[in-house]
Amino acid sequence: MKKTTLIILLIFITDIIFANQGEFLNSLSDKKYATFEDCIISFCYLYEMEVKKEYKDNIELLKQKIKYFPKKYNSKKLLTVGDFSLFAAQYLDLKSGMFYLAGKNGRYASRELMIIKIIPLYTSEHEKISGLNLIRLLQKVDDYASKKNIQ
Amino acid sequence: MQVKKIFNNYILVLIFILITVFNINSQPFLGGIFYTYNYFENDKFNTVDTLSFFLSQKINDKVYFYSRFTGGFKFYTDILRTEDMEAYSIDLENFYFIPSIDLLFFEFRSKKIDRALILDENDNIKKIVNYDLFLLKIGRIYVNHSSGFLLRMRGDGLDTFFTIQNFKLRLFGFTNSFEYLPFFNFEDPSSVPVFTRWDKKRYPPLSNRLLDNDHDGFISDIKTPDYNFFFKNKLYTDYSIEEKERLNNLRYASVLAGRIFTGFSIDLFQFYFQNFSLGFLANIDLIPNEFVLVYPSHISNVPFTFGGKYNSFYISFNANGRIAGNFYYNFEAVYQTGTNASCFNTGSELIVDDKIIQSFSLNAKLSYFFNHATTPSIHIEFAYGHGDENVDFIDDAVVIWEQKNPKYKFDHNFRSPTSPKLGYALEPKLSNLAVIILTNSVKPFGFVKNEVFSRFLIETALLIFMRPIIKGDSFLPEKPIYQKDGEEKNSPIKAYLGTEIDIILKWQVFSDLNIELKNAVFIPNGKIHYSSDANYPDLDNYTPYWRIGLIMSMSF
Repeated sequence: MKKTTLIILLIFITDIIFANQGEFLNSLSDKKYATFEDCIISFCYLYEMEVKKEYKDNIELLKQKIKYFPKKYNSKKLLTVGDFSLFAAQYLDLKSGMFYLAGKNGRYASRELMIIKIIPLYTSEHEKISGLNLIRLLQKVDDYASKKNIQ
Repeated sequence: MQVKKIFNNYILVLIFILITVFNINSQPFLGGIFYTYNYFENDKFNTVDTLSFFLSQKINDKVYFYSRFTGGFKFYTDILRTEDMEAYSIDLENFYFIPSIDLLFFEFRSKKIDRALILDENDNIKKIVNYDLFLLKIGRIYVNHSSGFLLRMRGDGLDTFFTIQNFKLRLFGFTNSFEYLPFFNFEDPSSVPVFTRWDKKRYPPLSNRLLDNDHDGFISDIKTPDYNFFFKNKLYTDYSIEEKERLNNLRYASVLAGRIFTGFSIDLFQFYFQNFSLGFLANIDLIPNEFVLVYPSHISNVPFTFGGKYNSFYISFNANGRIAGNFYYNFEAVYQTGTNASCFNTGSELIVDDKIIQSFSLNAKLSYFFNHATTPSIHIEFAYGHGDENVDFIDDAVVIWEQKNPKYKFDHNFRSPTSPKLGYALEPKLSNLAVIILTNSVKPFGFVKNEVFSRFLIETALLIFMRPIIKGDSFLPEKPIYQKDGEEKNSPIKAYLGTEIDIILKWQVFSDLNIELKNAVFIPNGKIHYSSDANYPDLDNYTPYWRIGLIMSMSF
């Protein structure tokens, strides 16, 4: 019930819905752990891009918007807080952290997201993210972007 | 039988660890902080440089583990002044290492209700408030009681919260005894409140630590003209073996006998933008009675041997919240009772007698926050801590000499474990003190689009210090009377102690890099401030006290 409510709410409050997005969110919410590919697709949606079927195509698509990627990644890799944060920090154009600006990595990107209260305090960058939690985090990122007039 | 009992205990501990380890399904959060604090003042330069590492581990949804370790050093130099020159004295005795366990505790909490927007039955969005029904911290914890007005320090014990909607009940109890063990803390006075002279001596400097030799260790030195009590690596021949042994045994008390702080508070919070809190705090001195007088047979000078014992209890009330718009208030009232040991010299022996503490303090603050890009704010505050003319302050300690007034039964001087921040130049304790504080802050580049510069903040403060009890000691050695040309002047100026001006520049360059430049000058009331010229004791002395500090912290 809680899960359905969140998904409905996300659909209502964002203006980035495409035809397959509902289906994607539904399958994502059932996953114990989200994968790196899920994160790529999610950010393609956030950037209002047309999501392709192939993982590599989506990567290329996203690289038009996101400059820094994690050092090692593949489609099946379980998504970590650090990976998600690196994308989210670039999406939100965060520039407040010295170490983040110097290193552009997941560790310090996650610190930046803690400061703006998108991820809970003391969350390790190595922490894995469930499908439902990824939806929650995307909702928070979108809320923050709306407030700051990003995108 | 004994072996079996120990074995059973080990099995229990092992089972607990195994359960804990197998329940860990999350990664630890690791980080660090570099901190440097350097300040110059009238005759001294101080530097504290530390590196801290912290770890936060979610063991499961209900159990968390936190720890923070600090290493570093502290060093100060005195400025030597002669007619011809001015130089810093470099003395290795003023160098301290800081290996410290700052925090080390487990946190148990009932599952948190998420702060989330959900739809109700009628499809209206409603908010769910986020709170922990139950929270328990156990281990080396940091405790902030009564909005930090009375107590903000770390110790070893537990802290529990029960929260139901707008009500919160809190119970806590901890000791700072372990602060006196070298491994836990070498040089951090924040967790070592000073009530008695014992409190200073429970904290021996690094250079005087010696725990191996029975007879060369902890002694009381009758040749030093001060209450004394320390580790010393010298064999004094004018003590008998028995005396040495007795005095040397005090070192264990020095290390283990700290204080216990315990209390509770009942809070009603976020009630129409108002918060109310009623609290109780007990401060129990663990020093054994036989050690209050270190060297009882040495009666020629009480200050050499009387260490003191101070037990205090506080009932506090706090109210804070919004008056209207951006206009806020904070009010705090505290009643203090307890006992403070005094020392009486009959001529043939020293008698220790407990005086009843009856005192109070007040704090009231009004704040206004302007709606502007530069976020200006102004505050006016009044802080009051009652005093007593029969109480002397010696190195911050509250000491009563009964010779001063044999009929004296009550100690009316207010003293809490930690004092509210009252300026930067001298940071006096709220004892026999009334302070009016005017502060304001502004971010002068708040309207600039560049985030880095927009975070630059300027704070200024004007503090006016007065003493409620004119004949009582204050934080400076002031004359109780205002004299001119040998005549006592009857003037309200006797109550006025001085004025302080603070200018603080804070720049959070990045979210993980913070720089602060603090400047403060205190101008004493020259009429009552002791003159340094012995030939002209009535001479006005307006020599200011100043302090300039540079702080930088960086988290990584």
